[in-house]
Amino acid sequence: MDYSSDQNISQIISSLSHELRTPLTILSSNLQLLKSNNLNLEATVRAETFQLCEEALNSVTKFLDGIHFLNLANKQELRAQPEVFELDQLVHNVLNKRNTSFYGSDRIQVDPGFKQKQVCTDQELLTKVLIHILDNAYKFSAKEVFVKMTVENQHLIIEVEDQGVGIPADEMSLIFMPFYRCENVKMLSGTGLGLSIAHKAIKCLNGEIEITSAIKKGTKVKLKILLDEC
Amino acid sequence: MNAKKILIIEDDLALSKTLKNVLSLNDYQADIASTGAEGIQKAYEYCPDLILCDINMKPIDGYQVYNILKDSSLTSRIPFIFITGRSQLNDIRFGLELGVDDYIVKPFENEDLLKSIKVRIEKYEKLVNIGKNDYKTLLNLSPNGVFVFDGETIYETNQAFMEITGLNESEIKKITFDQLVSPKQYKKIEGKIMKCANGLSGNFQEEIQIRTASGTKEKYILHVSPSQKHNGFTLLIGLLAHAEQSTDSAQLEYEKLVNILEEEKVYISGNLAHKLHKAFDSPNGGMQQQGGTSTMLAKSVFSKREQEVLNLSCKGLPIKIIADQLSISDRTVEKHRASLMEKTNAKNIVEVIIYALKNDLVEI
Repeated sequence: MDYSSDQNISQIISSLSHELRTPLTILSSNLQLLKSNNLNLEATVRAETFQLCEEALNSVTKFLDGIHFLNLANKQELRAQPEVFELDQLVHNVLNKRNTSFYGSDRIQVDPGFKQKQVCTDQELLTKVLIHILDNAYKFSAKEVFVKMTVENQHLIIEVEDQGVGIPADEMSLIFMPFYRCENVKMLSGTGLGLSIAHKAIKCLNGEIEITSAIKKGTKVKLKILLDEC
Repeated sequence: MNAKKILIIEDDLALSKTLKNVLSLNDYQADIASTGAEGIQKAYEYCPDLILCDINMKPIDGYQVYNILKDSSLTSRIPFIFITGRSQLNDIRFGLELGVDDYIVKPFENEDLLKSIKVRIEKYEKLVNIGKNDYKTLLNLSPNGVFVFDGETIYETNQAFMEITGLNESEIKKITFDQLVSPKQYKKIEGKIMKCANGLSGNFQEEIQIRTASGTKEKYILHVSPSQKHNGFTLLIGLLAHAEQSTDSAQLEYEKLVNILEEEKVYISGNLAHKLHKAFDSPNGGMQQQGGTSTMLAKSVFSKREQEVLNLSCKGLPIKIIADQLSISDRTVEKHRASLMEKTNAKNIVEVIIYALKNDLVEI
């Protein structure tokens, strides 16, 4: 986040207040509903009310985590902690993370060529990157999302390809800005933080992110990470 | 009584589900639209009694939804409440200038929301009833035959129309307008009626012969004017005045009726029974009628003293001066103001004034 001008700060504050207000409203309204009816709601309505509360809490938590992460990255306080792990473990972690849009979906197709390969990098950061990239690929397309991982010359290369709406060419330079959302997806819900978080995390991993996209055809994200030696 | 229908236009599904539950548990029937475009479409199809609308939506925002719905006579009178995260005064002022009925700022108390909805719907119904009564009285007193039709099918008539034609309600439902006149007579007016129904021309009048109750043909002056649009076709108002009568008085009465009917929201239910549904004071409407309705509303809601206090308050006068002008004590003025706030559901006197201005209850 760029705090360099008043205008940016005011934009950040207005995004913050907008992002928090809606889940807070949902929480407050549903709690009042439960309270005023002494929890005596029809079973399905009560279940939905609790679920709406939980979802609202999750979205607030997720949003605050995102902000916190960007803030750490901005202050240069983000440190990669490399460790050796198997790529199977990474894929398992990502696909089994609850509260992602793609949780439990069979639309994510992972090429099994990476099996049993060991790498050394920060597993937590890489998981974060992959979750945000997959989240977008899944959210902005209705078809399969293909994931391919290869290790060569001490680099881990991850390719995520979707067949979705695509990113407008004139907005390509803006997509890593916090809160930025492309014109063609503004009617879909989202905070505009995902790619900025992925971008910051990949930088911290000594990696690069390369995005190619064609409108209404799809987007291909290529991550190239320099692996540590441990 | 049927549950009141509320349309929720909100792009956050979790919030609209929440609102729907809150409303359903308070005996409203709620429907959800998740984009501005869908909201506009549903407002036409669903004919809600009230609309709750988010402002911050893409690509069509709440202000655009409001403006589009206000442009159509079918939807322009539906009470409209914005739900917004924007709490800036400028935004609210902007909305009020547009004529929005109320603002609810997120997060809100469910009770405040329900109260606002209740007040708007009640106010709306009061005005509908005033309009309806005006219309019914005029219709039933009229010696002229009045009927609403689409060029062919006749949907509603008054008593005089049935007396002229000798047909009862169920018989009228079975016939079309052309059967009331001879084919030759119908040819003379067919083109004009079609033009009117297609919106190609305004009103017209023509002398025709009608088959009357006694079986003879009598000369009448037929006035026809376009009224409300419904599902793409225009409803027409027809009036039959005896040819011997002074055309002037028939014309005058007819204009008055058209004025009122233009103020009405008309729709056709399943069995084609035609109901005059909703009326409201419109800024485009006939001035005389509008003034009448508003004054009637003011009279039915506020006491004479309260109206005087309201008028002076709207001029921006302080309590002391108002008290002097009306020769009452300061405390009494305050009491009247408190009562005004209660009746208009306002939190302070400024809100009372806004309410009064929006509803044309005072002149400045």
